[in-house]
Amino acid sequence: MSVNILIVDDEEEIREMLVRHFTFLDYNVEMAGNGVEAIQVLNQKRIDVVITDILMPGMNGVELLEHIQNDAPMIHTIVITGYVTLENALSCMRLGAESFIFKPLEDLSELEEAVKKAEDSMKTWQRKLRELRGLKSTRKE
Amino acid sequence: MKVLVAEDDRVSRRVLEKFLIKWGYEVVCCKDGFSAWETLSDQDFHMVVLDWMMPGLSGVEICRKIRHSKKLNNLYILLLSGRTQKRDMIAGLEAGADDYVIKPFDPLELNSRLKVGRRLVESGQLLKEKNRELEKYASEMEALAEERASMLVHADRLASLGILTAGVAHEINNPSTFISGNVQTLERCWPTIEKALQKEMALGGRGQKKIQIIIDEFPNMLNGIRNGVKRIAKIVNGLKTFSRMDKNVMETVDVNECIEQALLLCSNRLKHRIVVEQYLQGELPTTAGDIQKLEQVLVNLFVNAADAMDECVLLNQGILTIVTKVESSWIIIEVKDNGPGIPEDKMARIWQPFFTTKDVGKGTGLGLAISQGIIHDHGGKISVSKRDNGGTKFTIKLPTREG
Repeated sequence: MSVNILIVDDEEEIREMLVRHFTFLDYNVEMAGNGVEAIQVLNQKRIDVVITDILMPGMNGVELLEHIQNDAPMIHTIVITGYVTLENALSCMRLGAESFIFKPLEDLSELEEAVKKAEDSMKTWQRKLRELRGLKSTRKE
Repeated sequence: MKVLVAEDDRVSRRVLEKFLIKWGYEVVCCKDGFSAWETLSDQDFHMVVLDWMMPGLSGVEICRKIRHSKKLNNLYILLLSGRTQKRDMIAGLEAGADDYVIKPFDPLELNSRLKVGRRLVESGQLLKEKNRELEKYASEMEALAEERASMLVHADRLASLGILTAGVAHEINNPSTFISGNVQTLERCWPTIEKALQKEMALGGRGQKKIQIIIDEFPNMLNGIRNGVKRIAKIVNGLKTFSRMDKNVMETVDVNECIEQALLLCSNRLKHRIVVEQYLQGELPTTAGDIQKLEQVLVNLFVNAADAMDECVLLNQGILTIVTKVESSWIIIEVKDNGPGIPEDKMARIWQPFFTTKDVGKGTGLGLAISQGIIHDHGGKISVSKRDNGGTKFTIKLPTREG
């Protein structure tokens, strides 16, 4: 099963660059320009990993993380930001972000690894859940 | 108190001279108007006693000349005259005399009148002195105000520059993110593209030469873009450090240790080319500060010194001298090089952000501006001076922790 990534950034060029990159790496990629748009996408499609900026008009990244933590806690979140403050980093950490990566993303492999880690953890859980279902079905028989 | 007596009558002159000397005045006598005027122009007097009727210039004429002269204007004039008419007295006073005594004079009266003059002269002098003091004070205050104003303007400029640079840094970060990202994706795509191009090459045909160039040069182009982005990222980082207003973490810092650490950090830059001489005072008192930021300042100074000495490395061996010592409650760090030195006209500008003497792309012009900010944050001072034997000396003063 392929992994669905949602990229949230108000800068179109960055958004598209990341979409291209992760599409090239065989992921399914969606995008949104701010938190509100992101939530609309989350409501319509199954998303496994959200990569989000912090400073965005409308709804910012921290608020989006909060929403995800409340409504869809299984989604893995990764924050990318050029606006690095301790306060931001701490609130993202508290809201369950798995990685906090600084722009200008001089090395995309850091982001790739974060996605890969999320993917691995997701796959581990899926396998566990499958095993559990298998256990249940054998028990029924 | 110096008095000029101008009197053509010999007897009167002698009498006046005798009395005035008796009353404690320093006296110079003249026997006619011209010599009186000449003497007045040559020497400094406080008071003058003039006879009205004299050969050459009359007393009244001298009065007018005195009042018209800028230099003598303050002189106290006592006019002596045999004329008893009220209108004569008025004419004398109108001509500029301060007092009018009728001849033959009563010595006691003359004494009292001269005393009046003396008091006036003295209070005039006092006033003048006070005025001079005030003027001096005023000009000092003015200079101070000017200095403060220029400092404020500078601080204000730096503050707005800080805000501006933070903004610029953030704005530049976005485009460099997508340049950097895209080029990295392109790098991933390249093997696929290269393979396709190789296939095309194998087919032969006319475009071969161009395809070969692309195959050879494409990685270089990608590299060029990446290096460009890296450099931009470096500048942006410098700008962020420069504009950062956050409080420093103040811990106990051993300056000598800090120097050692900084030398280690730039050992690559220094080794082979430059000899480092250290004269570090043992058991140096500690200072309170952010060790990383202080290291940053030192590394910056060391690298600057090395860059400066590279320019004349053919002439003599570059020697970086580092000295630490204590002066009352200050820790002094001196960083000296024997490079070509900073030209006089550039000395004042080296602390300005973006001012650099290095080649384009080599320096951002932020190093010293940042260093100065850091040292100020530590309650210290950083200054630069020329060394007598050529080269440059940077001096950092940091308060001791106890001090």
